[in-house]
Amino acid sequence: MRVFRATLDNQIKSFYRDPQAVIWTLAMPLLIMLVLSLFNLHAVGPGGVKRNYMDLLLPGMIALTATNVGFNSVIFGITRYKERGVLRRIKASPASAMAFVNGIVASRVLMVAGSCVITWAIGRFVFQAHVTGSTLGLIALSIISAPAFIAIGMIVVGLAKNEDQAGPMSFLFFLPMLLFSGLFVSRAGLNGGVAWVTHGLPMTYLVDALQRVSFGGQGFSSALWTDLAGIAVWALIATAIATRTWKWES
Amino acid sequence: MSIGTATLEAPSRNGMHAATAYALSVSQLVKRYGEFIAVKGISFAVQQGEIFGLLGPNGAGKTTTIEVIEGLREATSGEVSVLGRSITADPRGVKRLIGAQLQHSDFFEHLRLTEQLDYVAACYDTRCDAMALLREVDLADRPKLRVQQLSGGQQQRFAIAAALVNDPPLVLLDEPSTGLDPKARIDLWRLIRRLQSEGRTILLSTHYMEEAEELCDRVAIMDQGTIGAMGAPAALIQQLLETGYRRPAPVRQATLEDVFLSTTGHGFGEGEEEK
Repeated sequence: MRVFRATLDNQIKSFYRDPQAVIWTLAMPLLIMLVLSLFNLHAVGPGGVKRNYMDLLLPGMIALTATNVGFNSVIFGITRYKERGVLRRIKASPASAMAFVNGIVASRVLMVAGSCVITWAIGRFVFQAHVTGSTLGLIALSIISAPAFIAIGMIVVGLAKNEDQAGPMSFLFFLPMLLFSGLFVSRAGLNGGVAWVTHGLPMTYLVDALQRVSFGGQGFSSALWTDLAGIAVWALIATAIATRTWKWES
Repeated sequence: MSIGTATLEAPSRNGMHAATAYALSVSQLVKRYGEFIAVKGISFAVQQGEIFGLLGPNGAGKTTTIEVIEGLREATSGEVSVLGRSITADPRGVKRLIGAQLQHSDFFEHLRLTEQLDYVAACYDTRCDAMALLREVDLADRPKLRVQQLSGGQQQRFAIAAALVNDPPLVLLDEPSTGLDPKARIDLWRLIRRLQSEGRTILLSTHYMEEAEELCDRVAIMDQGTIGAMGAPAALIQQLLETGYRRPAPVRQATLEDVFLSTTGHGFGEGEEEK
């Protein structure tokens, strides 16, 4: 328990003591919102209702923030620890890998929550995106989904020997989610095969769930439960794989 | 050339007497990486309170041996026990008895020195007096610095402080003076002697012979995964002389290292600046 708390504490400290890392973590969704706000775009939301494009974009940007913090920061942060021998020191102690990894997961969940609140606040108050549903629900969904992305990140940490390998591996996982999860454009335009495959991506479930909650009126519908179940399955499978691929050293 | 046969002070196979007499005993240790055998059935035992040196060139198997004792590598065969406790039967229990200064290891980038020590202590499920540890290694005046801001010698001393968080009876130092200038090395030697005076047992690997001669009560000389000679440095030297060996060059009264120290090293331990 002491290792868990100490790891959580040191990861949170490491995060806020590196302001550039915080800024760059949040930069991507905010820059996307900034660029797209320059165009007078509209989009069709669930139920065929015409919406301001920012309304549709904000849930996607919250998903992007959650993924960036939960997935990429785990991959690069922990791979760096592995490559530089920080993890060797923990391995040489009686601490269990489980307690250490749980501390990492808990710290990233908190970081995801904080980062998503910032993204929501900037989207809402700077770019005038409207959330007609539950704002609290948006943040709660980001937190619930974080362990799935962290676990996928941990698979990459286990497989990559160094940061040079982690970069391309991260891209391999991240790019399909970025392109096909409905972050920027509706998935309605995708043809049969691609639509079927990409429907199962973890970020697709998260974006769909966030959009349902953001546009409100649907409560905890069966569709939302399906999205949550999809995220839970990803979390379980990724955790099982990450447990097998985990290595303390390069 | 051979300088005598190694005296293998291995404990009995059942390890019974090792429980009381030895801080560390290694018996018939083998470590294999595929076809390559890094350690070929070595045995030695370290008495409580002594500084025992593992000497040898790079690739001799010193670090592999130490990493097996630290629990970082699993032995292919053989037995290691610390204060009578088997590493195979109770790896976590053995780790609690060891303080390890590791080769190729770093600390968290954004934590202060005291926070690093508190974290390492948490890994041993204990608390430590971080300031007391920093005082022990002469770093108490810079508790808020980060490890990267320390000089090489200070970093090595800090790594030793981190190895002491659990107040271990056995301290493993893996080439602690590699890359240090002569003054920083002498500071480190002073610290190692202080650890011994506190009653700790120290296993030290080094490829500096003068360091071993200066610090170690006994040494084992390793090469290509085997121990070629073992004993007190003076006894090993005497053994060699008895074979008729004489140094080809006359022994100088001083070396360039002595010149360096006399020029720069007055008041050792003073004036060392962080990066």
